[in-house]
Amino acid sequence: MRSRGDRLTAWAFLLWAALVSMVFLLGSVDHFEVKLHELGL
Amino acid sequence: MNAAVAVLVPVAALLLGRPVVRRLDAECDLKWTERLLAATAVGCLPLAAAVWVIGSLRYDGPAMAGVLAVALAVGLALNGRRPPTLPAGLRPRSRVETLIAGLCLALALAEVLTALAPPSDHDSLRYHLALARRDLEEGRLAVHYGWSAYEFFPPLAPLLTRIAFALGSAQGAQVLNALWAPVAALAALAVAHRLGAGRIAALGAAAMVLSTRMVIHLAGGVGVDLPLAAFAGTLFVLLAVLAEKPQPRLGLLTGLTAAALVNTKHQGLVAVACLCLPLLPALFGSAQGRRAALTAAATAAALLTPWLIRNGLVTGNPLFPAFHHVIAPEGIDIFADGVAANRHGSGLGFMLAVPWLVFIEQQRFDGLHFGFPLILIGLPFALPGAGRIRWAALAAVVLYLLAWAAIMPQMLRFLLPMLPLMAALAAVGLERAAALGRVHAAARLGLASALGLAILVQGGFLAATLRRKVPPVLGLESAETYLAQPAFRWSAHAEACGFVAARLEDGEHWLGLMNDPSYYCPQASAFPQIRPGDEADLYTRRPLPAVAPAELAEAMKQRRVRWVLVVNNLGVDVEPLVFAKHRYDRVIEPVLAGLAPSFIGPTARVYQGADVIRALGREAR
Repeated sequence: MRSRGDRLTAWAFLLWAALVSMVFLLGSVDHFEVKLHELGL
Repeated sequence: MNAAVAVLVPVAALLLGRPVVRRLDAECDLKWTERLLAATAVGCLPLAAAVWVIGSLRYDGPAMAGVLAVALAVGLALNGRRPPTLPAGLRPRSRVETLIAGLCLALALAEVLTALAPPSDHDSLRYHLALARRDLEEGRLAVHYGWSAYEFFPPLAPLLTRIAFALGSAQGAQVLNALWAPVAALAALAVAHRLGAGRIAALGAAAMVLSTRMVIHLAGGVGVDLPLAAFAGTLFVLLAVLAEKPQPRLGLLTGLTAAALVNTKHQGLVAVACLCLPLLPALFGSAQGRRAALTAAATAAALLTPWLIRNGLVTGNPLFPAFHHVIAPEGIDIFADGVAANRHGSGLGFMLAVPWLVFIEQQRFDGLHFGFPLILIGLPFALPGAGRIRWAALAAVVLYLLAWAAIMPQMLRFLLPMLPLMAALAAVGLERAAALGRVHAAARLGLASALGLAILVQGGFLAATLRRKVPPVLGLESAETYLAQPAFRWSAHAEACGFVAARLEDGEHWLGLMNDPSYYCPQASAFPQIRPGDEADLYTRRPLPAVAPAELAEAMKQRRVRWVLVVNNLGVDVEPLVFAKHRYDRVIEPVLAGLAPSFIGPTARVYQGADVIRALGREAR
C-alpha cells in the first residue's frame, strides 16, 4: 500500500471523487430549489 | 393491519422455493444468502401460477386467502422438520458492520412505512392498482384487449400483487412491493461477495441499493422494477457460480431464476441476455457447462411460454405490446410517443457518454433518479486486479447500458436491473479506496467526503419523502389533503373519482374523459371506451370508426350512465395509445359547453349522465 502505484491511485480516487461530486452538486442546484419550493421550504 | 398480510407472500415463495434449491444445490455451492435469494425467486413461480389459475376462476379475498394458505401449508410440509438455520457468520463482527446493517434495516423499514400512505405513484394509479381493482370488482382475473396495453406485460409480479391487493388492499400491494427493495439489496450484497468484496463492502452495496432515490420512490408504490432488480442480481450470482462449477442441476436452478426475471418485465429479456453473454465463453468451454447452459436456457424459455401463448392468442403478438409494429400486420408502435418523449440522445457520442450522463445529468431524464453518484465514484476503482467474474459483471452493465440507450425509453428506472451489480462493483471500488486510505490521506479524504455527501444528499431525499408520506400514515393528514398536492392530484383525481364512486348505484355506469385511468375511480362500472367492432382496428394504422352522437347517447342510456367525468387537462397526454381512452372526446366535449357540472374539483368536473345524453340527442338532430 506504500507503492508509487498505490499513491497515484489514492490521488486519482480523491480527484475523481471531487470531480464527480462537484459536477453533480453544481448541476443539482436548480433542481434542489425546485424541490425545496415543492416542499414549501 | 391488513397490509401486513403482504409479508406472507414472499414467505410463501421462500418456503416453496427452499426445497427446490436444496435439491438442485445438493453440493452446497451456494452461500446462505444466495440460497435465500434463489429460493424466493423460484418460489414465486408456482405461487404466481396458482394465482393465475385460481384467480381466472374466482378473484376475491377468500380465494386469494385460500391460495396463500395452501402455498404456506405446502411450503411448510415440503420443508418438513427443517427450520431455517441462521449461519454463524450472520452476526455483525464489528461496529461498522453493525452500523451499516442497522442503516439497511432502518432504510428498509422507512420504505415499508412509505408504502402505507395512500396510493399516489403515477403508474400505480393508472394501471398497477387500477387493473387490480378492476379484477377485484369483476371477481376474476382476465385481460381485456384494448383496455390497457400494460395488462399484457409479463405477469409474475402483477399476479403476486393480486394476492396482497385482495387481502391487504392497495397498501398491502404497496407493502409487498416495498419488500422487494431489501431483497434487491440482499442481491447486491450477494453479488458483492461473489466479486470479492469483504463483509463491510458487501453491506455497503446493500445500503447503496436501499438508499438509491428511485428505490426510495418506487418502494412506496406498486411496480415491477424492484423485483426485477432482485431477480437480476440473483441470476448473476447463479451464473457466476455456474461458470466456476458447471452442473446441470445448478443450470436448472439458474433457468428457474431466469424464468422469474423474464416473467417480470420485458426488460428482463434484455437483462438475461446481458447477464449471460459475458459468461457464455466460460460456460461453453466444457461439455458439462454447455449442458448446464442449455438446461438453463430451455427452462427459462419453457416457463416464458404461458405468457407468450396467452398474448399470442389474445393479441396476435406473443410479445405484446412490444414490437407490435414489427409482429402484427398493420400494427403500430404502441410506445412510439412514450419512447419519443423519453429519448434524450443517440449516436456514438451519446453512447460513450451514457455512464457519465445517467449519474451526473440525471435531471435530463425522467423524474426518478439515482441521487448522489456514489456508484460512479466507486465503480472504476473495482477494475484494477479484477478477475473473470468482476469483468463479467462490468460487461453485463455496459451491455445493458448500451441496450438501454439504443432501444429502450431512456428512463433511469429502466436501469434498475443492473443496480445490484453496479452497487456491488462500486462497493468493491470503495473498499479498495478504504484500504488505500489506511496509508494515504488522499484516499481517506476522498472516501470520507464521498460517503458524507452521499449520506447528506440521499438522506435529504429520504427525509423529504418521509415528510410527505408519513403524515397520512399516522393520521396527521387526511388522504384527501395528501392526494390534493400538486404532485399527485393530476394522476389521482381523487375528489372527482370519490364523488362518482359515492353516487353510483348498482347497475349504473360512469363515463370518463381522462388522459389516464385512476385507481380512485370505480373500474368495472366504467363505460367501455371500446365500441363493438373496434377490436379489429385496435393498435393498427387503420382509424377506429367514428362514433355518432345519437349512437353514443343510446349506448349510454342502455348502460345507465349516471355520471360523466371530464378532466381539466384533457389531451395533455404523451401516451395516448396505452389505454382505451379519448374515444368519445370529440363527440362529448363540444356538447358540454351548455351544461352545468354537478361537481367541480381542482382537476376535473363531473356532469350528470342524463344531461350529456340529452345534449348528445340534440346534437344528433
